[in-house]
Amino acid sequence: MAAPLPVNLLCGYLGAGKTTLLNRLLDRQGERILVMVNDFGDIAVDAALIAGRSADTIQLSNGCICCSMGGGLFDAFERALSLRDRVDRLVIEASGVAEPQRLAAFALAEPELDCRAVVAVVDPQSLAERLADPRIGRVAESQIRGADAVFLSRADIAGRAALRRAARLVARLNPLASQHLAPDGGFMQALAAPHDGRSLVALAPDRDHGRLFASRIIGISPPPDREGLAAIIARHGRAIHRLKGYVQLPDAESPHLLQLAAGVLALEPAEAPEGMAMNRLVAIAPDAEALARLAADLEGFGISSGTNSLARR
Amino acid sequence: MIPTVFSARRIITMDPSRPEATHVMVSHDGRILAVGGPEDMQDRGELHHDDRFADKVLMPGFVEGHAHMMEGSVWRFTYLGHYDRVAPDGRRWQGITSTNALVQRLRDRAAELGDGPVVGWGFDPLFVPGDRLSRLDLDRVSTTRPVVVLHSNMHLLTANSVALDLAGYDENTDVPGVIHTEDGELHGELHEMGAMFPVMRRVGASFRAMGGDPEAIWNFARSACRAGVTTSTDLLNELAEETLADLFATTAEDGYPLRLVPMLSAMALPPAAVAARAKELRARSTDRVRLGGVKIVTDGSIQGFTAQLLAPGYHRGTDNGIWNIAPEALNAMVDDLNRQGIQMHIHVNGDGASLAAIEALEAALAGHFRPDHRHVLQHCQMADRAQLRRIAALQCCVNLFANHLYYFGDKHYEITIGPERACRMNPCASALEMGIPLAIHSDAPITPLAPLVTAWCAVNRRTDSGRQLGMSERIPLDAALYAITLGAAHTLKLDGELGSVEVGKRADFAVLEDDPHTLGPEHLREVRVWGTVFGGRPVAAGSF
Repeated sequence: MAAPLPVNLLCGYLGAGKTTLLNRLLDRQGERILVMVNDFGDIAVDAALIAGRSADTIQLSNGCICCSMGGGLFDAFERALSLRDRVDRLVIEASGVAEPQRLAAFALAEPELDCRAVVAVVDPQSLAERLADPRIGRVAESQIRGADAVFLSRADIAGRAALRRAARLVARLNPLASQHLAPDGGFMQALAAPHDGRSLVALAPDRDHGRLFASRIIGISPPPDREGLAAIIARHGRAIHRLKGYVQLPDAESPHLLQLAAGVLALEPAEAPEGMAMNRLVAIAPDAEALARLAADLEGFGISSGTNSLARR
Repeated sequence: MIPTVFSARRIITMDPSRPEATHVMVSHDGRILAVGGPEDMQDRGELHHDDRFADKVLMPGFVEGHAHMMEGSVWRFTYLGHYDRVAPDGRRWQGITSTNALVQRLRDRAAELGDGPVVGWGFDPLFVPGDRLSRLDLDRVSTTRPVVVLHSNMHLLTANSVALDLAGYDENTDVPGVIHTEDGELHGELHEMGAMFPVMRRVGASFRAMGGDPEAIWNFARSACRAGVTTSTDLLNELAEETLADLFATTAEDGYPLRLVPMLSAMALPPAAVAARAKELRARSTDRVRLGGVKIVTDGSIQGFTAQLLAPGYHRGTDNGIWNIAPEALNAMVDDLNRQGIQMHIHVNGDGASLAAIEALEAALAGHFRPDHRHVLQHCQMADRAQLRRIAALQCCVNLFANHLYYFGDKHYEITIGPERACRMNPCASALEMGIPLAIHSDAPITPLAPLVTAWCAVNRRTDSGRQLGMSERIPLDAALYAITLGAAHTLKLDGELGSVEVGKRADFAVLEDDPHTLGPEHLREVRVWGTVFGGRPVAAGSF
């Protein structure tokens, strides 16, 4: 049997720039991408754009992704799997109102699929307005919360202030997601990374199962040195689901990205995205007390913190 | 060709100029030639007299304005619902009231099938006392074959160990929707399509298997005939060419006794192509397949907490409201279809969704008013009187989900939307008071296809537990009978051709053993259906 088909999911509200990004991905050489297009919104133009490409195009026969009677998505995934031998990757352009959790669940659950990064595409200029919209604010928020990577589109025309504001909004909703302004090497790397189902579950708890997760922003200013930081985190590694943030270590020249996942700490030099606050770590754990203990240990260095339950919004 | 005269105990015509009759004359090609008493059948030359209905009551063939072809296909799986229900083949399935009964029924089914997967549908754990159905219960059905139970809302399933194993699930699986027990074992319950997909595709229960193949198309007609239905919608269909080929060929077979009105899913193709496709389909309509309408789905369902609700939102439970189409895309779609003269059927369950549709229609009709457009708000369960006034001003129709009052009414009252809104939901009387053309529906297979039961629901507004859901929105018996005949025909633009027993119309009748007026409003749902007359040809329920 062939290896599971890697899947990327592109989410984002109408006009966010999903199709533009998709086309830029298809322009790249060397990879056979199978595209699942969901025919919504201004896709008439989009479909025309895609039709001429060399990559196979699958149009979702039923755009209603979360529909109670929907058979379209089942068929689309079946068809994608039947084409496994002819492609290297499946990219799904979700509808503007699709919630990534629901779609990612297919790729996470199906053994023949390999769920890679979920990308939320965001238009920096309209983001604040979208989030405040009583009709679609919630779904726009869920798209960002469910993403591993957020692509800020139209960076060239958005203006620095708008970009910074959008980056801050995104970071507040989903501090774990990496942010990107161009489909560059860093973005391609982010695309290839596995989908972080744990953070997704944490950020959108399984309400039927009554699992509660707590998150906490821990400010460490000034941060300890590398060894001190690693030692503190090592003591709490088992109790903490995820820990992530950019830190300016006293013994380093450039910022570092700190990530704790599955008990493994990574601390690598990395450029912080526009607008990302330095020396603020977001921590997620099943119980708030574990977070409090971690915060207390970091307290010698830290200044601010606050706990909120993610079970209800 | 000699016309036939059917005599009946009584014919309820729905024609105000002649509300009752005892005889109806029908041409060889299925048109009504005369309606009245025996004296009105005189002087017509040679006649064939058919008195088989002399002790029965005829009505216009019922029109189901919102049902799905899945009613014809889902029965290939084993029924496990709470309510007694009759399959297309006439078999009456007892409602499932215990886990033991469920296991026994699936065991019997497994033995019948011999080998391969065993799949059930329609299960609702809320109606079964004791522990929630789990993998271990279904392991009692089989430890060598996959066993899968689809829940009634189609958003959950429970699988046995073999089925879970097929999908590669084990105690280490950490996937949203794959449920574990307290001690970390697989529970067997899978939530939402993503987690269900790997199991369903491996047991041959994908939604494609529940589509409209020829057997399903025939089964749909069998269910319809049992309910006195001669015209039914299939309210969401992608209408791909292979589906159409099956529809045209199967319905053209000798004796196929149902007019189908499939609605093109607006999501089946690019928005700019929908109107052209609808027009093309309209031109390809046949006597038994009426095409041209378009269905747009906006939100989810109230019982699934996926409907879009305005403040104060859900009574209890988490608001999980979804849009199946972005509001801006809805506006554009409605504007385009209205401009191009396409009739729309817009699924709106919550009041947030009906408001979005009203606003889209207001904008579209302000830009391009089209007389007699007959756009229909489907379900429209939570619209309040203010929304209904706007719907009336737009001259739209509503097709209200009256069956919800009985089948889900208690849940709505206690859990989803609370007492006040449950008591005014599916506001049939307000709609009529405001002059809004009204149909009522079953959404089969969500609830059983049975227009007389649907009418009973609208007339009595009583829940399964006997609770009265508001008095003021009850409608009179005759208004309910109108809603399941001419009312529904009106929403399909077929009221000039069927929906009443009038000269020139199709000779489509519901044949009843009992007289609805004699049994009265309280007992309307007990009226027994003999079958139908379709295009002048008697079709007994269960005869095909």
